[in-house]
Amino acid sequence: MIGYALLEILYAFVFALSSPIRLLGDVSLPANVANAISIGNAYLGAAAIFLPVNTLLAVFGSVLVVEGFIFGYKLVMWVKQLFW
Amino acid sequence: MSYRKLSISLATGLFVAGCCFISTGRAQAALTLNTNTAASVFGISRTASPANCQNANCDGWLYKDDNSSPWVWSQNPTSSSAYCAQILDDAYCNQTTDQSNPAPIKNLFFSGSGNAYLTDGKYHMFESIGYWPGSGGCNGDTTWQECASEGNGVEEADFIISSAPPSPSLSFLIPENGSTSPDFASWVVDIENATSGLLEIDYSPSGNAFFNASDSELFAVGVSAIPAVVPKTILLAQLSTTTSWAAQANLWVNGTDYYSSIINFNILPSGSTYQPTYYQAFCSFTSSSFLADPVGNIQNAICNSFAYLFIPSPSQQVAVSSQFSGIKNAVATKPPFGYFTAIQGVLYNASSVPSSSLVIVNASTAAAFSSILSPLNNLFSVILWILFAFWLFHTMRNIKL
Repeated sequence: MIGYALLEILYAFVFALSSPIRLLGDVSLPANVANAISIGNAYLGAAAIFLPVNTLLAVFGSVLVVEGFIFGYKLVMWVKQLFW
Repeated sequence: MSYRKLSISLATGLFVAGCCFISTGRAQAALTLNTNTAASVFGISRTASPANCQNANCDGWLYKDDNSSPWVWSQNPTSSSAYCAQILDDAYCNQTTDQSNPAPIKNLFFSGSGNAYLTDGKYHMFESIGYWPGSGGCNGDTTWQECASEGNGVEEADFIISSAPPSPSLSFLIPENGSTSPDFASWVVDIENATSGLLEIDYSPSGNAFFNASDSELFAVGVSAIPAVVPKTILLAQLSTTTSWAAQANLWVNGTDYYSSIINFNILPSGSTYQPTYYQAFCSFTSSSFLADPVGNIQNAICNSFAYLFIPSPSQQVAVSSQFSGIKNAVATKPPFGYFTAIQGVLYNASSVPSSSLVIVNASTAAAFSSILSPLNNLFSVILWILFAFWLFHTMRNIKL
């Protein structure tokens, strides 16, 4: 009963928070970009016998996450500096 | 036997041993002792000996030497006039109308020589220290003439001797045999006569000669919920070439497998939403009679109360799950998340790209050199993660926010 009520409150919060995003239109990849990713993936898959492709992608993703976090923090601080 | 099963076997054994140890408390639910139980001792012990007892150690216990030997009842009195821990035949206790008198001890009282080998049945064991029997007996509320003070230890307990424990029986609840549904997150298996062990789900596309995928979970009686939930590791809906699947559950208990019947089910290839499975609290009354186990029943009543307050009912869980799933699906196609979803979709559907011209090492060569290429692959993985660690350390040390 209490758990359900808390989950409903959380759902209402997430629903409200995601409203601006849900109002946007759907996105799709341009055909050339999708084709490029497919071909690149095929090449990487062919090299997977001796290259750790999954690890390579995981490390690359981790670098992006760290850099994205730093950039996001700087962006927020910059916006904050403009108004406060 | 694989190392995994061996380690799980040891863990299960320790768990069962722990349960047996815990079960020796006063007025616990009946403890089942069967011939598959490892060498063990279970009984009543006194760590302190009252001054007016005839015997220094007035203990009674059950023991067995190994997995196959029977349980033996033994006592430690040196005088036949001393009544120490005793066992009553539960059948007699159920028949007698005079609960105030001690029930006869049916070939179970050790009177100074020999031991009593217990046959299958339910028994009641209780402490009865003293020089002569008084009132008391089957109801467990012993008023025997006891010594002036009692030592520490168990005073009474119920137990069952079972030479042939009932075999576990497994059946699928999710997915159902013959069903067609969207992909689901977890296998749900009902287990009757549950025994602790490794619960494994084997599955493959229908028509395969053998199962080529499996998910497993350690199942522990008293800890794991029933029905058992085993997370599924493969997204069946994304394997669009196969919609028909076969699965079988098996519970591995000390080297013995107990199988369910094989089920066949269909997964909708376009349905990427999970069919929610529900969580249930493991609260059950230990005895139908409250007075038989008041502490255990109160504990489980509190457990049920908290489960009612904090665990949504299955219908509520389905409703909440579909609400959150709806938001996730709605956001998954919107920027910026939609780009990641689109890229993921492209990567999963890369089979349309002709790959025959991109083969660097063919299958036979790869198999021949696998002993070299595989360690090389692992080495590169380690090097990459070490490089990432160095990069992260360098970045954090020189970060300027």
